[in-house]
Formats: sequence, C-alpha cells, structure tokens
Amino acid sequence: MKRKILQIAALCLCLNLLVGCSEYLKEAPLDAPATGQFFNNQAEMNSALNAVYKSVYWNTGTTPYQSVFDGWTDIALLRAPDLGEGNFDVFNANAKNIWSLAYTTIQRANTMIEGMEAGKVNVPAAVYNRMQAEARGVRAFSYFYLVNMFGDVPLITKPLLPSDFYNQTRAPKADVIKFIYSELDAAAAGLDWAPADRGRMSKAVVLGLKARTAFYNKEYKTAADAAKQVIDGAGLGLNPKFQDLFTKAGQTPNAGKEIMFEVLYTDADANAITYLPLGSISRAAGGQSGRFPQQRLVDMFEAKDGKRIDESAVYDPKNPRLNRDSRLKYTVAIPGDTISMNLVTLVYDIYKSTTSFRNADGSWSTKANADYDNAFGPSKSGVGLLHAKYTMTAENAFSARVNFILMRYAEILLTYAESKIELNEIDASVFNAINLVRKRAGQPDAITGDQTKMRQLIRRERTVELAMEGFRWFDIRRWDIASIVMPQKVMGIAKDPAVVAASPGFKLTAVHDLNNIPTYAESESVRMVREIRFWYPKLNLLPVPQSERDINPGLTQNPEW
Amino acid sequence: MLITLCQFYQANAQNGELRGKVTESTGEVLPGVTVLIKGSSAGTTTDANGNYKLSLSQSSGTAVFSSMGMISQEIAFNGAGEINVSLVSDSKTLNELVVVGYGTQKKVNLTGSVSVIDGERLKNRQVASTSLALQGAAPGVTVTQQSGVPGGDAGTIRIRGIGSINAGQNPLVLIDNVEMSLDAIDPNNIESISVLKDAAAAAVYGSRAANGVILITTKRGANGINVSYNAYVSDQSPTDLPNKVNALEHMKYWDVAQANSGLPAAFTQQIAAYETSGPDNYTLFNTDWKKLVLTGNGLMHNHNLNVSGGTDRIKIYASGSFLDQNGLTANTNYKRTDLRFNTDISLTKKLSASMDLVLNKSNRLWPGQSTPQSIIRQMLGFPATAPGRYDGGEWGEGWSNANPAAQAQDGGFSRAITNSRIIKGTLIYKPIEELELLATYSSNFYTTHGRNFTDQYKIYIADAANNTLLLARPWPALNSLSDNTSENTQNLFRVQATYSKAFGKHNFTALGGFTTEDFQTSNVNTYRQNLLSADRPYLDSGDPLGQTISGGISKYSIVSAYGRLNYNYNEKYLLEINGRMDASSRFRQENWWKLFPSVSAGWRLSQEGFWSGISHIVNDAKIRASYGTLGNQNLIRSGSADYYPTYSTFYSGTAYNYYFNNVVNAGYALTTAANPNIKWETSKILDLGADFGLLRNRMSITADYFRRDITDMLQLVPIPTYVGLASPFVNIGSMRNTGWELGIGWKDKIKDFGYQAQFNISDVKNKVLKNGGTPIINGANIQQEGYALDSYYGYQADGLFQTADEVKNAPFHYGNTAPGDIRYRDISGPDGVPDNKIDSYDRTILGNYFPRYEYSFNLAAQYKGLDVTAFFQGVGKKDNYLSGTGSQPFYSANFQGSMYEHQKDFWTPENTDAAYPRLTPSAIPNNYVTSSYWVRSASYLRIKNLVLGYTLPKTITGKIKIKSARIYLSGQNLITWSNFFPGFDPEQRDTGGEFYPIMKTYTVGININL
Repeated sequence: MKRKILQIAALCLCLNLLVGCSEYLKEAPLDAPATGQFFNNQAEMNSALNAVYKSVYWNTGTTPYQSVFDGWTDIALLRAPDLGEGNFDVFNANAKNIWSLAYTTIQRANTMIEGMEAGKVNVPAAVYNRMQAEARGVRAFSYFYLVNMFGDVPLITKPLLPSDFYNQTRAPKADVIKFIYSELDAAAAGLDWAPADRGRMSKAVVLGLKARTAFYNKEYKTAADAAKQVIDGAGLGLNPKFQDLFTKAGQTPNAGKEIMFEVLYTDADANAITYLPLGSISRAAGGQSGRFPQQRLVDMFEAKDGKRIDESAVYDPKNPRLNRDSRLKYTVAIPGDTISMNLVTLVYDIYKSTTSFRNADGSWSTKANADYDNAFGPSKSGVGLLHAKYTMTAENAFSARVNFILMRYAEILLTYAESKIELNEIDASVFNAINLVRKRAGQPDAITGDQTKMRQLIRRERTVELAMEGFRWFDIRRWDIASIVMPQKVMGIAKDPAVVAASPGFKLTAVHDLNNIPTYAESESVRMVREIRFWYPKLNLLPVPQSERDINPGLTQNPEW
Repeated sequence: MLITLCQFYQANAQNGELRGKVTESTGEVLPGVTVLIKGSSAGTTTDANGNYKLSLSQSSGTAVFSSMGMISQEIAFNGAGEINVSLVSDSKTLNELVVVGYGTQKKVNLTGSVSVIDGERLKNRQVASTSLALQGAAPGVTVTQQSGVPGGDAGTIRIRGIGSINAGQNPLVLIDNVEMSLDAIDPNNIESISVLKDAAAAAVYGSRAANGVILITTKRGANGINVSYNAYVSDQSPTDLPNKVNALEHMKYWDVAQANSGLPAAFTQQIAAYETSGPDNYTLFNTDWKKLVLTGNGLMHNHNLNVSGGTDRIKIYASGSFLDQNGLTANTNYKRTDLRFNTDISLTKKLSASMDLVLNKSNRLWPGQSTPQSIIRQMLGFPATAPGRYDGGEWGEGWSNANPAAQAQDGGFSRAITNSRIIKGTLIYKPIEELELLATYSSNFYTTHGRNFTDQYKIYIADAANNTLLLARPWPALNSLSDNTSENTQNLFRVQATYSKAFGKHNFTALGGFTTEDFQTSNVNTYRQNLLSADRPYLDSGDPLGQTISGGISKYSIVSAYGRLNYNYNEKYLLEINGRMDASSRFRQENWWKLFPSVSAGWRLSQEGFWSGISHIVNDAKIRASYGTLGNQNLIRSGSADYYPTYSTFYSGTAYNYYFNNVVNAGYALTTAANPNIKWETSKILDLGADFGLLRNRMSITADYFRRDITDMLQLVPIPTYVGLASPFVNIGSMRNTGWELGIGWKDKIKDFGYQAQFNISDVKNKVLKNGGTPIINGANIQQEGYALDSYYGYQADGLFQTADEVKNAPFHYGNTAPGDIRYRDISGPDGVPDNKIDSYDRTILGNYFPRYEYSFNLAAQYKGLDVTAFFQGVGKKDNYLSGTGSQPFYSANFQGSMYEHQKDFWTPENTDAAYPRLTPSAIPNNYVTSSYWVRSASYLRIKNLVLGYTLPKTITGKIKIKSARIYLSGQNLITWSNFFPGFDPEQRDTGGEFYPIMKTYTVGININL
C-alpha cells in the first residue's frame, strides 16, 4: 500500500514537472530590452541616440583619437614610435582601432535609424525627424573619416543580417562620398541651425561636415557652397579669445558660438573624464607628457608683423617667443614660457634641473624640474617643446573634463577661404573669412596676392590655427607634400641655450616655399634632433586591417600594402 | 634492510623456530607473505618459493600470515613446528565500490572510464586550492596553474584535452552531487574522488558532462566516535622570478637602445652623476622593487577539526576548517572557513534520510588600487631608476605616480567576501530489497560582497634646490569606493528509482530519474568617490557627485530525464546502456530537447576458463569499450556565462551614456549579435580500455585509448568589425581530441615496510577538423583545420641580421629594420609564392600549448611510524609563447619597462651570436611580432610534492590517550627542470612576462586522531 502511494506520488510529481517544463524553461533577458522590444517611444529612441553620440568619442585610453593624428605628421610626435616612424604594417593597431570605432558608430546609427520606425507613431513628427537627422549626421561623420583614411570602404547603411556579415565588399570612395553628401543634405533638412542641445548635430554641423568632406575630396565648389551656407545662415562667430576654446572654463560660455561639435564630458559621472591634457602635460607639473610638438610647427607661426619668420623684420632667433602670432604661446610651450598645467604654475624649462614654481600666495620658489631629466619628458623623449593647446585647462589633469572640439567655426571660415582660393575666386568674402581668424589672433589683415601667394598664406593659417585638432594628417596628403615633409629628421629647439640655432629656411624649392616647409641645414647640428622618419606612397591611406581581411578575404587591400 | 632485519630476529632465536610454506588457494606458492607473531616484534616474510622460517622467542602464540590482496590468516601454535598455510585472495578488492554517476558500482564491473583518487592522497598536498591537489593525480586529468595569488591560485582542470571552444571547458564538479567550486572544499573532508572521463561514465550527467565529471564524495559518519584534528603551516615563496638590471645598467642599455634608433642619448648626465656619486635614494635611485614590494611573509596555515559519530539509527559527520593564506605582497590574504554537517538517519528499515548542510565563507583581501598581479607586474617591470621609497619612508612617484609598493601598502583594500550556504536533503525508500526510490533537493545559495576602497598614498619629490622632500600630490587625485553585491541561487531537484535483480547468473540494474536545475544571479553595483575620510570607507561618506549605480538579473534552467541499464552475466560479460534527455533554457523552444545516448561493454577475461593458466600472474583482466554522446550548452562569452545567447539586447551603462546639458543621459546600445537558431553542441566519445591486476593484485595496470569528437561546436566565430557588434554564437565546425592513458601501480607490504609506486602517463592530441572555411586568427593564435586549437601563428624566424647588406638584400619588412633585428623567412605571397616581402602571407603555424605526454610518478613508503612520499610531475612536450615585457626590453603594455638580466645577451656588432635582438627603446614590431623566435619548448619535470611523516608510536600516544598522531614535513614545487626562458615558470602560459608567480611551499603539519 505504502509503495503504491509513493509510486503515485512520484508519478504525479513527474507529470507536474513536465507540464510546468515549458514555463520553467522559457527564459528571456530580464534586465535589458532585446531586439524587437525597443524603440517604442521617444525616451527609448533618445537613449539609443545618446549611445550613438557616445560612440563618436573615439578613444584609446580616454584620449580622443583626433588629437593624436598630428603626432603622425611633421608638426608633432608621439613618445612611442607610431605611424610616422616606419613601424607600419597591416597589423597596425591605429588602423584597426579607427576602422572598428567608426563602424561601431555606424552600427548604432543603423540600428537606431531602422529600429525607430517601429515607434514612429508614438513620437511627434518634428522630434522624430530631428532624432533621425541627428543619427544620420553622426553616421555620415564616421563615413567621412573612413573614406578619407581608408579610401574604398564597405558602405553599410542598414543593420546587417548574419547572412551578410561576411560578404561585404569595399564600395568605391566616390560612392561613399556621394552617400555622405545625400545623407548630410537630408539631415540638414531635418535640423535647425542651432542644435537642440549643446553637443548635438545641427544644420550648421552637417553642412560644415559636407564642406569638409568636399574639401578633402578637392571638390572645392561644393565645399565653398556648403561653407558659405553655414557662414551666411548659422549666425556663428568666433570666440573672442582663441585660448578660451581649449579650457573647461573658457568653453562653457561658448561665446560667439564658435564651437559647433565636440566630445562632451561631465562631472556628474566620475568616469566621464579625458586624459587628453594629462598625456601632454609637463612632467614638472605632474603630467605624463607623451605627445610633443616639433620645431616645424613653431616655425610656421608668423611673426607679429604678419610675415613668415624668414621674411620678418621683427623675428629674433635668439628669442623666438617674442613678436610672434599670439596663438603660438597657446599652442606650443617653449622653454622660458610661464605655463599653468594641472593646477600648477611654473616657468617651463628643459635646460636646468630646477625651475621656478608659483606658490599659492603668489610668491615664487625654486624647485626640482622633472622636465629636465625625466626620461619621458620633453627633453628626453621630445625635442624640447610642450603642447600648450588643451593642456592649460585649469583642471586637475587626472579628472579633466575639457571638451574636445570636433568642429569649430574658424575651420569653416578657413575651409571656405581655401576652397575659393583653389577655385581662384578670390573675392572680398575670402578676405573677410581669413581676416576674421587672423584678427582674433592679433595678426594683421591678409595682403592681397595672386592665387599662389594666397595659397601659401591660407596653408600657413590653417596649420597654425588648427594644429593638434586632427587636420594636418589629411592636409599634407591633400596638398601632396607628405612625401616631402615626412621623411625628415624630427627637429627641435637648440641643444644648448647659449648656442643660438639659426632660423630655418623655407625656400629650398618652390614647393617648400608654397607650403611653408622649414629646412634646417644650417642649424641641425645645434638642435635637439630625433630619428629620421619614413615615407612610402602607400601611406597616403591606412591599410585595411589584416584582422578584418583574415575574416573576410573578400575585402581588398589598398595599393602596396 | 630486510635482510638485516631477518638476521636481527634470527640472532634472538631462543625457542626454536616455526617454518612452513604459504600457498594461494589455487596451489601457487606465495612469496613475500608477512608472517608475524601476534603481540611480539618477531616476524619474517616468505621467500621466492613461499617458504618461511621464524625463530621463536615464545613457546606459544598466534602466527599472522598476511599479504596484499589476500585475506590474512591467524593460526595458533604451540611450540616450534611446521605450519603450512593456504591464503584466499581478498574479495574485498574485487568488491571495491566506486562512486559513479548517481550511484556506486563494483570496480571490476565498470565499463566506462573512471579514475578514482583516494581522499587520503589529497591530504598530502598542502595547497590552498583543492584543484591543485589533483595535479598528476589521475591520467588524462590536466591541471595547470596560471597564478599563485591568494584567492586566485586555483588550477584549470581539463579532462582529456579541450572539449569545447566557447561552451565551457571546465569539467562538472559535483560535491555530493551538488555543483560547487572544488576549491571551496577542504581536502580533509574528501572521502574519494571519481573522475568520469568517457561518455558512458558521464552519461547520466548528460548536458553538463561533456568536459568530464569530477565526483567528490565527502566523509560521512560511522558507528562510534572519532575525532581528528589536522593542521599545517606553510611558508610560500615564488618558484621563479626574473631578475632585473640595476639603475646604472638600465640607463646605459637604454642609451644603447636610443643610439640604435638614431635617437640622442637620454641619460648622459645621470650616468655621469651615478658614476661619480652613486645612487643616494634622494635624487639618484637604484630602487630594489622586489625588496620594497615583497613582504617575505607568504605564510599559510590550515586547520581542520572533524567529528564523526553514530549509532545504527543516526550518523553524523561534522567538520570545521579554516585556511589563512598570505600573499607575496602587503594586504594580500585569503581566508576560508568551511563548515560541514553530514547527517544520515535510518527512519525505518525501509526509509532513510540524509541532510547535509555546508556553510562556506571565503574572504579575499587584495590591495585596493591595484591587483596583486598588477603590483607584481610593476615590481618586475619598473626600472630601478624610478623613485620607490625615500629613506624616511616617504613614497616616491614610481612611474607616472604608480608605485607598486605604495599601492600594496597604502592603496586601500579590495575585499571579496563570498558566503555560501548549501543545504541538501535526501529521502531514500526501499519498499523491497530490489527497489530504491530516491528524492533529493539541494540549494546552493551564495552571496558575494565586493568592497573596493581605493585609498590615496602621498607621493613626495626631491627638491634638491632646497635639500628637502616636497609633498607632490596624493595619489590618486580622489579616493573612491565601489560596493557591489551579488546574490546567486542554484536549485537542484532529482527523483530517481533504481531496480536491481539477479536471475540466476543474469544481473540487472535499471535506473531512471528526472532532474530540474535552475540558477539565478542578480547584482547591485555602486560607486562613490571623494570620501570624506579614509577611516570610513563606506558609501555614506562619499560624494553623490559622480556616483554610479547599476544592477541586473539573469536566469537559466535545465530539465532532464535520464536512465541507465546495467547488465552482466556472471560478472563476466558486462553491458551498460545510458540515455539522457536534456532541455536548456539557453536555446529557443524548438531546440530545447536533445537525447544523448551511450553504450558500453566489458569482458572480464580473467573469469574465463582459458585464463586459469595465467590467473596466478594476471589475477584480473578486463577489456572494455564505450561509445556515446554528450551535450554542451554552457555558453561562455569573454569569460562569463552567457544566459541569453539567442537574444541581442540593448545594454546600458557608462559606456553608452552621454552628457548633454552636463547631466548623465542614459544610453542604450546593441553590443552583440545574436543567433536564435543555435542548438546543442555534441561530444562523441569513444573509449577502449583495459584493466589488469597482477601478482596478487599488487600491481594494477589501466590503459585507455580515447577519441573525443566535438561537433556542431558552439563558437563565437569572429565577424568583421564593420558589423559593429560582437560575434553571435553559431554551431559550426568540429574538433577532435585523441589520446591514450596508462596508469601502472604497485603496492606491497613486507612486514612493517609498505611501499607504493604509481606511474601515470597520458597524451592528448587536439585537432580542429572543420572550421567553416576561413581560419580564425586571434592575435598570436590561429584556429585552422588540421591543426591544434589556438596554435601559435606568426612568422618563421631565421636568426638575426648581421650586416646592413643582409638587411638590404632580404625581403622587405619594415623601413627601420637594421642589423641585429630578427630575419624572417619569405614563405609565400599574395600569389602563393614568395614575393620578396615579409607580410601577412608569410605567417605560419609555430606550435601549440597543448601539453603532450604528461606524466607523473608517485613513490611512497612506510616503515613503522615513518612515511615518505615523493611526487614528480612533468610534461614531455609543450610550446609556450613569450611576449610583451617577457620578450621586449624597456616595454610594458601599461608602463615604462626595464630590462631583465638574461636580456643582456642582446645583439651588437661585437656580440653577433646573441640570444636576443638588438636593443631598441620602444617596441619595434619587426622584432616583437609573433614569431618562432619567442615560441619555446616549455616541457618540464618538477618535484611537485615531497612529504616526510612520522607517526608517534602507540606507546606514546596511548599514554596521552589519543588514537594516533602524525607529524610531517612537506614541500611543493621544490625543483623544476625546464629549458623555457629564464625566470619564467613553464607552467604559466603566454604570460607576456607579466604574471603572479606560482608558489613553492615548505610545510610542517600534524594529524591527530583522538
């Protein structure tokens, strides 16, 4: 009897469990929405859009990627050998990082643009259109970098199905550019001139991006037209003080609305910090300098009289800091400059084991100077110079939150001017644009000249205004001078402060003169010098990452890689 | 020695002698039989013909005849004379039971491949993590240790190779049929371990068993009372650590490196200063980072007190253990308490119950700012020129404010406290003799509480101008606290019926059961910084500004029905059929269920008539074969379980948030692609084996050949990064592990002298059979058809360039290649032929890290109170790849590196047959891309364990009223023979030169039975 009861009990138990099985086994994510459960309303769309924007912050080690690009050119260097130094192959981490960072943004935007249609009816049309336009603008921003760094790239405009993961091929560069144009035009239609919140895409940004895309593609007419639209319609102006653009406090008011698009940080999140300043700041100020300017950049700044230093009467090689374009001291720190970095104010020096530090009460003390002997500081790893742009931010460098500018109005003005010069349509609007930028720097108005003279001026102006903002790498390729400026020794300041280094020449050839390329034949022996760099024509484009080609052999490689 | 003993006894002869012949019941003579006079010290052994002679010191008494594998006989005698004895073989050996899946089975009747490890053997190994005690303990069981850090020194266990790529490679570990960490249990509580290695043996665990099963049975109560106390104290130190160059050498070599790259010398002034005045630890440093960081207090001690007691109705085993293990660095400690109550109750003759309760707590302390691994890494990597600690005790700034000694001592704490409560109840009802009904429920509930307080240390810099030290800054800029909890529950319910019946010589056992299993984990993570006081490391004293909080939950469940049918005819022909139906919530409903069958058979040759001719030599012989399938669904992504692999979810958190209007705007993004169509991964395992007992079962031989095919592998096949998502799981490809195992044991006892030897050797060869087409390249590794999984992949090095001409004429690789750099072979090109360029087409397979020919030998002997054990373990063939800091002077992924002593043998025009390439200040890829230059053989042999014990004589223990007492000395990892790179332990794989070393330990311990 007892046995029977047990048997029945066991049987019931089993049956019960089997019936309950389907409930018991049915599991789906509990704490996060899955595909198909999202984009129901404005809040969900907005949060997806936030993540799209977040992905525009390309970083390796919390430093925006664009800020490193100049270290691969003739105006700056990175402590660790990088793209400039012949260390370049198809496994290069930078190529791989940029490729995947850009496509992460593209995936998020594609997912959003397609997914949000499901909730379209729940969102006011104007808001919906704006959000969609922003996502398209950000996606075009990614393609802009991809096409300019890699040439032909897979053009992916929708979330990929697994069946399509492996069969993408590289679309011709022209097709990608065409796509960028049409996307930006469409986005412009859905956006106001001013962004809905600071940091968002606006009509000004997407048209500015169109101008930049066309400009890099040497489609100067399109570039000039798009830039002109921004200049005429957006109501933007320049920040009164150049240096305020690169400090947290100076950025906050965004006076004149010069800052158009930027990477945002906030003190509301402990992790929302940037190491951009830290990685360039003086060792004596407690920073971790690992990126340095080259002397070539310093020598490209005009003298106060508006002339290149080899033609200026007021330039003094003994005291290169004096009588210079005011932007120089906010871009490069030269020994003798008083700098304020990481909340420390000191006199920057590399020649002595001590230097002067300002005390809290305003008095000065002499203390040990790490910039003199630190193996990774500006004297041992650099060529005697420090970055001043983005380093004098009046913040603790370990929790800096200075925004990184991805687009500002000065660039639009210079792009406009250069495009018109290339079109040889040098009218008053060109001078207006150039002189707006020069006036702020305290430089005299540009003097009328022929197309060649104007080219020389605008190329100089563009280099010094936008140094360390991620443009030079593209510019030396567009101007076709990379083969000249890259395979040179990295040049620095005088080795011995008592032995004056002669001013460089700029007129070795007409190309040198036109592009303001300094040469140091006379002074090399007395300057701090680093290794000779390399140039191969293949370096005009980055290689398609080998890891990507290992996975999809259908992806072709750029020439000579 | 024996001869001496015999002579000694003969010298004492007074009352004549006892003599005779000892034979086996079959008539064979028995040599080596111990003959003892009960109650005296007189005794001898039989000679080769089974004869013995024993001088008597007493006129009457009892003679005891004993031999391994035989039932002892006692025969009374009165005066001298002849006593001939026939011993019967001990059927206990034959009746030895082995724990198998959901039951026990007679060892001789096993048809699957099962290795049994006696709990007593584990006690000889004084290790904090029990997994390490399994190293070399059974053939086919590979245990490798990657780190010796307290709370993280567990070994990785692989049974017969790698059973999966992304669906988990760990065997299922069941402690009394409850899934829990092997390392959480004190080895003192282990009665026995069964390792189920083939499909037939593991079949009833179906879906969880594809990587083998380790069944641990804990001790249970027995009639009477027994109390025992076991304790040891160990001193731990690293097996090996590389040595670094001093400050002056660092600078000189650095400048050599600079010059090699066309860079100016960096240290001219400093070198001059060092050479004139020497380091003063004020402005010129020669920091001995090892001395600053290593505390030299690697003390570990373990205590176990257990009580076993019982009557016929109720039996209890209670045990409490406490382990306390210090690390090499300050604030590095691991404590574990393990309380266990095993209770068995006979309610009626037919109904019995058992109730087990385990309370386990582990408390891991690491420094707060940095993990011990990272601290050791910095210690090994930092140049001696970096300021460590001034003479007054102030911290120097190390490198970029990171000072490993300060991080360890003053960097706060990172605590991980895990509290685990396991409760298990079992009811067994035997309505009739042949039938057993069982229901069992267990729940493992554990919480982890992680509190990480990052404290600030003060960094001073020398102000030589004013001859003082200045407080530069506290580091980091802000202190911070993260406080995370997680709560986990694993429920297991099982009902089972077993029916056994013999019909004449036909023996049947049928077993059927049903299980459900579910797991749920949830967590809350919080973070605040800028705490008002380091004395109150709690959230309330932190700043709400910048705080973060997150949390989530995940679940999975599995339902299974299983059955087993055992049949044997007269214990001669053996057959077993297993089956298990599994369903997993990880799959979509249409792929839930799958059946995993297996069959195995054995033939005991020694039971056959024709065997009788050699049965006195080969006492027992069995051949067996098994074939079956097992499933796997235990998906792992980046080291963590993936519970919802068929869904692509939108993730939130800091990585997706954005900051419009200076506030945190929550972001959601897709991060992984999902594949709703995935289904069970399947392992098909073939095993052919044989077991022999020889020479009165003193010798045992077990040999196995196996083939393990894994098909429909659940893999995270890389997808192009242009997809913008992490790979989804797919069922693709297949892999094969083939291998063999051989275990040879010998145990014997001659009078008071007992000795045992065990030799194990095994081999496993892994091969990817199908891969879905394209090889999968992941950094230095490749998964390619026809080769071992994750084979090393890179260039084939061809020595070093000696002259500029050689570089010029060699295939182009990099612009900055120079003499002293590694030369590579131009193997191929885009068109499949060498193209005079070194590029991605020239990569090739360079070896793999699978341990081949793993062997061990264990030698043990006991004489009277003395016991000694020596355990050697080795690997005959294995490749290991060194990269990062390990291969590149002045390099580290995270900081400025220095150089190791052995790297001084670098190329210069004068040192052309150097071991290493020319120095460069930072990694030039030419020399440090993955290549055969940095892949070396890591075969090794090491003295894993050496024990010397002494059990106090009864005369002493009797006086202090204890049953027995033993003291011992032991050592772990004492000596290692290997040709791997100097300073690096060959067991630690692909370290990149940055690792926490494995420990060498010296132990003293006691075992007391009250």
